[in-house]
Amino acid sequence: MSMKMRALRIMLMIMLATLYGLSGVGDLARAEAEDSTPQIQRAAKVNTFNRLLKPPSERNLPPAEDGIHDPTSEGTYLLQSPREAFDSLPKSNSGNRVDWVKALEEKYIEPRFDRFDPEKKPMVFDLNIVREVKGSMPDVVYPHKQHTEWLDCSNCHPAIFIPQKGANQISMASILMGEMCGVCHGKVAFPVSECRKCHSQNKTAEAKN
Amino acid sequence: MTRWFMILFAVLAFLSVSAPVPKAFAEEEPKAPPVLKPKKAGVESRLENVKRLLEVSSGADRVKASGNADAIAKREEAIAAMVLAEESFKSKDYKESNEFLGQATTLMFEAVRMVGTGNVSKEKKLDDYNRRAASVNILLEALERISTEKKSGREVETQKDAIEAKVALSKTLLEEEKIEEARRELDEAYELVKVSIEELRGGDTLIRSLEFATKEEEYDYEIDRNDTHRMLIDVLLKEKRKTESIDNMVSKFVTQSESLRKEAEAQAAKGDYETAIATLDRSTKELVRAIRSAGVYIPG
Ligand code: HEC
Ligand code: HEC
Ligand code: HEC
Repeated sequence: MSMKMRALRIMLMIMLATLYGLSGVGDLARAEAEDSTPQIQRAAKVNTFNRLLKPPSERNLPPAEDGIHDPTSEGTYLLQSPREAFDSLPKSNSGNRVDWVKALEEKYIEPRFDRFDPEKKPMVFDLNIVREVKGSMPDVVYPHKQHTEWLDCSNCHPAIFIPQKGANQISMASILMGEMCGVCHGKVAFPVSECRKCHSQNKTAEAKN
Repeated sequence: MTRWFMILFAVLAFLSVSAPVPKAFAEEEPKAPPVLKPKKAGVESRLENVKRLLEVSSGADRVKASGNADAIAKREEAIAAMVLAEESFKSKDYKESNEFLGQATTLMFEAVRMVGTGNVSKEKKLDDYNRRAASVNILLEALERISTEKKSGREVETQKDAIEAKVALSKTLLEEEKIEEARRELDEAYELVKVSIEELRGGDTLIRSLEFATKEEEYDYEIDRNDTHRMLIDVLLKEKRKTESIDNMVSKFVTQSESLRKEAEAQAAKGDYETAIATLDRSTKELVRAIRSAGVYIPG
């Protein structure tokens, strides 16, 4: 494996680890144990919301300057700078400028699904939930497929969503405030500015008002 | 500190696998990434950092104090790689130096892993158990609902029974304070419920249609939609509004939008939701104009 790939894997693993397993969820679990504070509030502290909507000069800073990693820890300086690491990955127009869905699909990256078990593969689940939106705004398609390539069911169910069509009240405003889809989108997944990635199903002509 | 350590551990765990090289990198394709050319300054600072990792980091302290001969030997190997890195650096071969630094780091991480990350607290294990149990329970409910909806019959019944039996056994084990075994049963139940749901729902598309029972409900939706666009102005145009001409234009549309919204609220207060909805729609359109006038194209 090339040095670069290895560095990239480390970067990715850290991103995922920080998000899903090690710090974030640990804190969440503790928050849950202490009181009934919704988990989402703790998540917001770990990953500042809308941090993926930064001007170019503040994008993909070296780990020691990114405000996420501990600049006083020597380990931080071992990490490759994302600007360098992301260079060869498929581009996107937002966030950290990488199209992560494509990067995974086209095998630019092959992150482990399980921290300890290198053989474990995700159970990809192909279920789409379409949520209609009023007017000419395209409808939202929520795809389980792309999500379950990265995430486990328990990342969302039940902490963020009840697994039942329509059982969750989701509004764009809540997403913009870092709840529901916004628990991830804008923090660790592509940001809200990419309307069409979510609002991907155009209305048929007669459905438009 | 423990948190950093756990991240370090994750890195370690990761480094220890030599997974297959992805296709895009293995073969000669036009997309292949450019080879990294380490620069002097970068390697120099990395030298310093790796040295700290080997000498003074908490991991280094733990290895030194561990009395674990294998771990100590691994650290010695790491130091040897570090010395080679310094030599390559002195002879200005930064690429080679960088490679030795990579080896030193890997070796050191291996050493640290040998001395372990300390024990996961019982409290954390219990928290994790409870969270996983919540997922299993809610997915089991979903499975029941879906199987009723799909009239799936015997086969799913049998699967459900097997899952429930595992959950029950897990609970018993937990009561007996056998938390590891309890967790293992629970994880098996979790895997089973996932697979059962996938078998029933995989390939489906469900549509959650938008229906308003009353005009008042539709009005509330329009208020949300208006709020959304108002928020989008703050989120999307923050940078653009630093340009005065853009800011002026945006402000003009926003002012118009606000006065329409006030009008709509007054209409709704009188119970005329139908008119209020139309007015709100106009208010929202002004906000869409504001956003587009600043050069951000949003659909809708
Ligand atoms: C990124 C978040 C996320 C992940 C991960 C996720 N889901 Fe979902 N799931 C959702 C959302 C959102 C909905 C729709 C809820 C709504 O419409 O209110 C949903 C709905 C469902 C439903 C309801 C379908 C119905 O019949 O009404 C089931 C069942 C479900 N998910 C199962 C799973 C399983 C099994 C996994 C793991 C393989 C999984 N989900 C992973 C977000 C997620
Ligand atoms: C637990 C985190 C999480 C939540 C909650 C979440 N997502 Fe995602 N989503 C991701 C990740 C991670 C990806 C893949 C990485 C990326 O595209 O940035 C993704 C990808 C997507 C994609 C795929 C885009 C493509 O390129 O194919 C869509 C669409 C999407 N999300 C919509 C939604 C919607 C709608 C919701 C809310 C109903 C939602 N997501 C909730 C994490 C999440
Ligand atoms: C991460 C996914 C995602 C992204 C990105 C996204 N939306 Fe949404 N949007 C949703 C979901 C989910 C809903 C809720 C649909 C429903 O009512 O069930 C929604 C609802 C809406 C609504 C309906 C009314 C409301 O305010 O709730 C509007 C308008 C809207 N979005 C506009 C936008 C615009 C404009 C953008 C881009 C700036 C955008 N959205 C980006 C997921 C997304």
